[in-house]
Amino acid sequence: MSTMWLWLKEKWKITLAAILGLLGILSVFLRLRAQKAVLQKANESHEKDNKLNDDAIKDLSEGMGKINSETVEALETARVKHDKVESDLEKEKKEFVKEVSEGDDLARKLAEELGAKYVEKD
Amino acid sequence: MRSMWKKINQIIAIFCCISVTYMPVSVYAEEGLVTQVKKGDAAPFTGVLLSNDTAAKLFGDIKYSKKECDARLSKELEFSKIKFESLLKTEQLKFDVEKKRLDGMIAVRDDRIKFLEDNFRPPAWYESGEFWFAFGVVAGIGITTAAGYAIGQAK
Repeated sequence: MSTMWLWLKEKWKITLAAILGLLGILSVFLRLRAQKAVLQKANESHEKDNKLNDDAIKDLSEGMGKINSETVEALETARVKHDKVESDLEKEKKEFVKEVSEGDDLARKLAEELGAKYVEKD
Repeated sequence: MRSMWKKINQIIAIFCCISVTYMPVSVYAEEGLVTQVKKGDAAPFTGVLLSNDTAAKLFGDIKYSKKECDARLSKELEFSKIKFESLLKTEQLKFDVEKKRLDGMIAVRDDRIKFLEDNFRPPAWYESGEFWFAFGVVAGIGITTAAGYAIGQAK
């Protein structure tokens, strides 16, 4: 033990330098650890941002697809419905024209419709 | 003589009244005339002669023009409604997605700001475990050395 003490007495500068060096290393270590935590947090934030952007793109894409398919379906349904209405009307009109052309009182009806005077033949 | 003039005036007044009352009607009636003729019949007035089919078609067009117009209007209205509802849904979706994204980003930013605020002042050197470990090591060396020195002095 006394040998150690003698050695320390002789090499106190080395001992002090070793202790100071240890404290320096500790300080650097603490600083690096804090910086690492900040960088880790920045990375984590970027990952969260990226995930939010990806989710938004996915949601938008899915929503647009759904709206488009719904719109196409609604337009097709409306087209079929109105085609039937037009077709029925056309058919009804054709039947009406046929019926009227075959009747004897077409001129009278036309006069009534036009607000004109029907002239009886002599 | 006077009564005769009075009579003439009365007749003129009645004639005028009748003229004013019936003249426009007769003029109007003269403008639109329709009749039915057969091949070889004499035309009772100057005008356009249509065949039965053409006249029936004209009559049908007149009769059905409102219904056809309503049907077309209804069709265009429904198509427009579907298109604009689709546009509205699209805009609402964009708004919702963007709001969700931005709310999330704001939460991430808030969290990061809180972290940076917490780490703006790192724990004091004497609060870290590493310091106390190093201190323990140094103190151990010191105590051991001091003990050695004390034992040496005693001997």
